[in-house]
Amino acid sequence: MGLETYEPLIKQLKNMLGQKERAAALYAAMKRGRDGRARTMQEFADFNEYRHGIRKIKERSIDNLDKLLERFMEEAQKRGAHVYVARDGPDAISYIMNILKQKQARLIIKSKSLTSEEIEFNEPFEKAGYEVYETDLGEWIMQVAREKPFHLVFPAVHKTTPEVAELFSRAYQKAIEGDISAIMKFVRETLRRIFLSADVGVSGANVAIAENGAIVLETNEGNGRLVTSIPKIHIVLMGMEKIVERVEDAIPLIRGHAVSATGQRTTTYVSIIAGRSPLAGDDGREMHIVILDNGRSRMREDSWFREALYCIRCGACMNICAPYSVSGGHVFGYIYPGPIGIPWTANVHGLDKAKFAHLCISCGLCKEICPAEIDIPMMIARVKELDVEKHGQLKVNRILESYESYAPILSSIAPLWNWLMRRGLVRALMEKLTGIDRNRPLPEFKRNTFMKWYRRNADRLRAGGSGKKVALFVDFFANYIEPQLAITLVEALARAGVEVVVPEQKTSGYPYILYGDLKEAEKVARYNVEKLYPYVKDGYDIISIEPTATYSLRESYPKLLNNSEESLAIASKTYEALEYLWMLVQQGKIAVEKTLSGRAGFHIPCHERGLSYGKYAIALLREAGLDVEIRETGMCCGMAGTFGLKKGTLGIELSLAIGEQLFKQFKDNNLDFIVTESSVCKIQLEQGTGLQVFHPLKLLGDALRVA
Amino acid sequence: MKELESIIQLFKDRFEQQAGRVYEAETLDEAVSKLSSILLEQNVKRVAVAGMNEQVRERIKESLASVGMKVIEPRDGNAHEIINSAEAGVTLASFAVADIGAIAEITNDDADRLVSSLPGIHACLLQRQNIIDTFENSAQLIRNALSSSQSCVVSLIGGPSRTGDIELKLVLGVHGPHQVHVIIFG
Ligand code: SF4
Ligand code: SF4
Repeated sequence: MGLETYEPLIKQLKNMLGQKERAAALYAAMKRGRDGRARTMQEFADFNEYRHGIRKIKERSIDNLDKLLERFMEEAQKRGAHVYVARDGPDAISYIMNILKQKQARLIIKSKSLTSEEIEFNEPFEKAGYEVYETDLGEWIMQVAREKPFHLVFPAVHKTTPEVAELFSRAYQKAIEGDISAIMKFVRETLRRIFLSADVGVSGANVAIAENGAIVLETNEGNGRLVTSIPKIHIVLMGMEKIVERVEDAIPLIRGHAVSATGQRTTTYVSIIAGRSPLAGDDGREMHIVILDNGRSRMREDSWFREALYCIRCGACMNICAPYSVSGGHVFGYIYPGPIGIPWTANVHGLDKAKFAHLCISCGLCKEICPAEIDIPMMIARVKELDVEKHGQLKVNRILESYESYAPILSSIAPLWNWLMRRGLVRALMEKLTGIDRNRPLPEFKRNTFMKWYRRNADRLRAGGSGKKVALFVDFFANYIEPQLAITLVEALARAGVEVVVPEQKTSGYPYILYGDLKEAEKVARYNVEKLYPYVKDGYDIISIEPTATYSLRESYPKLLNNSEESLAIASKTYEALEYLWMLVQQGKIAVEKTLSGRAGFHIPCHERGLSYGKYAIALLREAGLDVEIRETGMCCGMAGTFGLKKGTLGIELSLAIGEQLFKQFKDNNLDFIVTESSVCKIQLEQGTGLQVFHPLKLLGDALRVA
Repeated sequence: MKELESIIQLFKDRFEQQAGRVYEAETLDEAVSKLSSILLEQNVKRVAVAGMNEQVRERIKESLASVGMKVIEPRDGNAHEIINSAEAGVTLASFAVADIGAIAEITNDDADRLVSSLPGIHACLLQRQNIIDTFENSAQLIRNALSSSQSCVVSLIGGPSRTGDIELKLVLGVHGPHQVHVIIFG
């Protein structure tokens, strides 16, 4: 059901997966952005603290938006600016059209403004006979090519130098050589004449400051300065969410924006413009500020989407989004590309334009990189949910979102099931019936689950002695697939005198978020929180082996349960298994023997990036004698829970395309094997690299001794 | 004093990292003669000078004229065309911010903004004592500037104009200057 509505998306994606050079160019751009950011972050005492400050500023500003809007308008008007609040795109366009008519303007120059793209500004003005020039190079290339931006910060990154030369040559009937300096000479000379004769300059605003009615414009090329100074009329088209109260609020946004986007400290030019200045004494010049609502007021009232208004348009989220890296902004985007493009598109352009939400694999990394700490993944899950409500769910998604609930049955018939799963014919049939790709090796179920073992050993494990108490959140994999991992962990804890209990629980339910079933996700969250909370209240720490499960407890449940006291209490007491073990080592309760040798590559699962970044697992493995180093692209391996199990373009094909860059990093003949804490990344990495993949607990088994 | 020195050093390091050039001079006279020699070396013939403190401007004009450069002071309606004909623009920075490696210009007339926007070379004098350590600490200064008159622009400039829009290749000097020289004095 609902498959037809996916078809255009799947077709576009398939087409893109064939274009390797484009993907390579995009990958390079994203990496450039990430690396730059990582470098400049070092100049801050604590960039995460700084991000938190930005978040607070945006929260405050959106809370007080009504007041700030009023104040901003008042202050700008005092300076002689004309201010208008536009309901939507057509309203903004007709207001501006009127001004231009009155002033008999003809030539419009623009500096980059995503808000103007949002309302597809250029077309109606071109139709009405105005000449409109984008003056940001990337935007101009897109305008001449009649394309939408491929990337927020580098709109034309998919075009090669010869392609750009060719494009301009044809459009301007001029022979331009295919090298960058020839192109730049053409661009400079052509646009310089345009700058000097334009009568209207249209700019956006990165920030607006209420206390003095000023707008802030950030550019690198210098076009923004010309657009706002030469023409008689300056029109600012800005989103309503851009207003902050004071200069002090604007500064962190200006910095955070540049650092996150490219690693610049600020953009080369930051212009803070208050009122319209005269030009060489000529003061017959005007400033118009058009403040666009276009759905923003509605978003502000929506508890899911309010956060989208905190976005400062730095583009960092798309620099870390694995599915975006292989699909690009034309597929993974409508007008607004990338992760944050999903909630924005759904809200300002309509749900039907936001089908690309289903390309999101819920890795969670966009949230980790966002300077405003926006929970983009959860908003995306909500968009998926709205889409599923409207258009129905894919059968395979329905099966996979709840696959964990079949586990008890499958485990009870484990030998038969595992045997069946090894038959090609059965897998082919299953592929047909369920949509699970036959070429993905599926992990085998164990009849003797961890829980069975635990029940036999529960009394012994309760003994404790050290005063430490732990409640284990087992999750799916360590119970049904590799019970030995959980046993190793629990025995090590018991030896160290830690009391261990395993409360009643369900598996994390994270797949419901991946497939946009927030109601089910919330139910599971509520159940688990209810079962775990009494233990936390009683002084137990919660530990969990699977990174996604830990992440669910720490990050997702509070969000799903409106930050309830119980969910927050659990989050604050939840530890990763290896984090907890390392703590015990530090406290001298566990000793690590040198039982390991060899050289391993370490893979950090996405959800662990929001947690410890693998540092405890690595520390323990090194302590046990293993030579281990992180290999990473910084992004998701592509497996994304069960996403990569699915047959077809929107499954295994996308998954393996994403994995390619990472596989290369591991396949350098220098590694004996791979270590990772995620059970599903393991499937992807084994298949993609041909190397064996181990869980650190499996390797550490014998090394963990009583101190 | 030592603190000021380290702030200046930070400004220098970061501004230069961003492809700007920084020079130091003891006195205004020394700074102005450094300015002339920089522009001479770049073979500049026409220079636009922004509105600034009378005394400094006269010194600059004198010095540039004495080495044969034509000095333009755009004060009529066609300012943008006139400034555009200059190869270099000279301004006096209001202040600079060390940790973001940027100079700041406070202007009340857009002709002054164009002096540092249109010509291919921008040279800027900066008084030593006007270098502030962090962007955050410049907030009050920015607010004062904005509230001191009906219209005002504070422009932070962190080096030459640049783009990476074609294949991510860094190109300096797109629509703004390809060289920015800052001479610290006083
Ligand atoms: S959660 Fe991951 S896959 Fe989804 S949009 Fe964010 S970065 Fe992309
Ligand atoms: S959502 Fe966050 S990371 Fe993405 S563009 Fe907005 S501010 Fe930047």
